[in-house]
Amino acid sequence: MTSTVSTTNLWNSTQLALLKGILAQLIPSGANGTIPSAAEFGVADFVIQKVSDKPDLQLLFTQGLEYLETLLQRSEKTAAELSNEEWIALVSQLEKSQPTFFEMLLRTTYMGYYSESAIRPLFGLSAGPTQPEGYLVPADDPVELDRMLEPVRQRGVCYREC
Amino acid sequence: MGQDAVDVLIVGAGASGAAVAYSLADMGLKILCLEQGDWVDRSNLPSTRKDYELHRYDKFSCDPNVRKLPQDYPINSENSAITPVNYNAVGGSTINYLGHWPRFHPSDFRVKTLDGVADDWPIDYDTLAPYYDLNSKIMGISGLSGNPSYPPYDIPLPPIPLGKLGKTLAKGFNQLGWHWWPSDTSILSRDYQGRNRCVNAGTCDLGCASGAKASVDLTYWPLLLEKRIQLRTNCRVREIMLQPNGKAGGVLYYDADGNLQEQNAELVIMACNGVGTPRIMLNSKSKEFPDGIANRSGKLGKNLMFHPLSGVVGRFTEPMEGFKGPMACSIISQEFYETDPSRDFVRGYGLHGGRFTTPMTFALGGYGIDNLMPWGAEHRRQFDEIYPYCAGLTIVTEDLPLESNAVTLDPELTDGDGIPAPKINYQVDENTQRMFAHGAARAEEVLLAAGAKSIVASGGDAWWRAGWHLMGTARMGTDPENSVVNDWGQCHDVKNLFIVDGSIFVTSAAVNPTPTIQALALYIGDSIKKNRNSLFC
Ligand SMILES: Cc1cc2nc3c(=O)[nH]c(=O)nc-3n(C[C@H](O)[C@H](O)[C@H](O)COP(=O)(O)OP(=O)(O)OC[C@H]3O[C@@H](n4cnc5c(N)ncnc54)[C@H](O)[C@@H]3O)c2cc1C
Ligand code: SF4
Repeated sequence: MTSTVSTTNLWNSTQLALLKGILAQLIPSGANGTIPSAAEFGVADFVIQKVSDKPDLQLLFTQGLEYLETLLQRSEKTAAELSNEEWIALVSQLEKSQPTFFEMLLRTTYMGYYSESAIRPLFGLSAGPTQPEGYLVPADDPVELDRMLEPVRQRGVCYREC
Repeated sequence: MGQDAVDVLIVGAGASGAAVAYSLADMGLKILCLEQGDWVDRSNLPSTRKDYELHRYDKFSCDPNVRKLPQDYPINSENSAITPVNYNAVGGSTINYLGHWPRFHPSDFRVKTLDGVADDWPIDYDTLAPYYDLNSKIMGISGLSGNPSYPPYDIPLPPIPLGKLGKTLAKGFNQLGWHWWPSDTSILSRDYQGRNRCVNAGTCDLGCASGAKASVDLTYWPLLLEKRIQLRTNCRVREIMLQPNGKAGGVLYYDADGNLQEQNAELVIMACNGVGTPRIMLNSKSKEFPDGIANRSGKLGKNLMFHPLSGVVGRFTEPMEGFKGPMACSIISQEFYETDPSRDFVRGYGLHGGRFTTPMTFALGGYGIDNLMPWGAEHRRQFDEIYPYCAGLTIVTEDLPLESNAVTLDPELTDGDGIPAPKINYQVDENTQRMFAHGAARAEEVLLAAGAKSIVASGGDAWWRAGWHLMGTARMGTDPENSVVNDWGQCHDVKNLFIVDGSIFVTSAAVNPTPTIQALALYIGDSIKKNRNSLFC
């Protein structure tokens, strides 16, 4: 489930490393690593594909990643050297100072991650499309339903006659 | 050049346009419907695709400002607390609606007499009752008769399953001794008239590929085409023409190639919904009607009502399977529906127990529609520890008519054919705010009584992208000074111009409007038949 993105002509390798690092923070892995993070799920590919044919989005994302690059330079570390706490601080800083880019990145990340069919069964949903199979929900037993509604019936009419 | 004249021209092939066409179909008249959209491709609905959720934020969004399809018109909602949503195609907004199907109460037609607010309707529940029944059979309604919050009526099909979530909520209502009932739905609990039963896919807003949800392209339109009603798609009406004799002469519309056409008709019926109809009528200006056709009262576009909504969500200890089953329907409570003078608001609200949602929509919409979920560790916690265990109630309030809540024409924004876009001015009134506060507190009580361990979201502002119900903008009434149409949908000022959609609602009640919209359309069709001698001479 590792991202297949290695090169892109949109962004340089530092920017890509920053993007993946941020993705890992936006949706971290869970359940002791059995639920992959957004970076492990290849959401970077989705982001690149989303912005590739939209010049205004490309500009927004490029400026956002450039801003991150400046923050990284200031820390005098490489993306790989940042600790988890430093990553969280970096994302928080981004959220505060680049709100438009951040919100767009977050929305795109959620779209990329949760459109992966493999993620749905983790929450009980089927992996594939909802139609035509759907889900089995047994019809209610009419006797049981009657029993549940008995107190409601007992209280009598509850609309105003007019 | 004018096309061949028709007897009846219906604008809009959605819920109301289809119903009125059905009613008129046996008169031996030449009937034509113009629809700006096309047939929906049922073999390729989003719910049949692996990435189905993505479509909710793209070409199958309920928001035309997001969809931006060629047949859509933009809506300027900058000055509105709620933005109208819709679908433009054969079937109209029944393509993506959710099929929750409660009727109005008898008291909903008598709000002035009973509660001293707004205005009474010029018709009553009994007038519409036979049309509610007829429409139930055509649409295929599921539910359980005997709901004590209504006069008795029959329902063709048994209720859809309550599901785990619905049963859990019902327990809470019973614990408190409050009303609840399985929802009436326009969704098939059994195979019916060649359509398949619901498979509980839970993505009703993405078009129902199994055909269980009664969209009118599946229910009415096949019957109408059999009856030789003509449907012309990809035709967008720009304005209604006025003749020197003061009657409507037909319409001007843009055909599929963008060419302006003239269509003459003896009778024109508007069915473009509570925003689309006032928009086109306001755009139909003449010397006689400088502010829009049939608008001597000045009420056209005014009194827009939506049903502001808000929600409360509880976290339970077991998974609630909230993604299974029709989205908006499981149970409904009308415990707080009728006016109670001991409360600090007039009229009332419903507590609707729909289902929960799918993961992407939870991430992007949170506990409402547009509240992005947090990132990081809190994101994981919300998904792993809360999402599967959620059940909620929606507070659906009656929206009282206010003249300042209005549809006007935007001076700059237009659709692809250059027709002015509607501009919405709308604020949620204080009465509704008080209902929200009351409803949120009651919903919390229900959820806790049902076994919720905590309340994870409660109340707040009206949901923004929830302008599903569009009502009131060409109201009915007996007084031409104060209303646009009379008690059978005929414009006071232009006798061969009718309106059949939610625009003509006098008040909104606190229930989803489509059963009432369609019952009204069938009733107006019948009234036209009864008065045909005076109309067509
Ligand atoms: C997401 C969603 C969920 C909903 N859920 C429910 C629910 O659970 N229960 C319920 O009761 N209601 C629900 N509704 C509301 C319901 O869909 C509407 O009340 C109903 O469809 C209104 O019927 P109508 O005929 O007035 O308008 P529509 O069904 O909207 O049809 C109007 C038609 O007119 C066409 N039109 C508009 N302007 C022009 C023009 N200038 N020229 C030609 N054609 C034109 C449009 O393309 C459209 O097809 C929901 C709506 C949405 C969007
Ligand atoms: S839940 Fe039922 S009605 Fe809704 S889309 Fe699925 S099959 Fe259709």
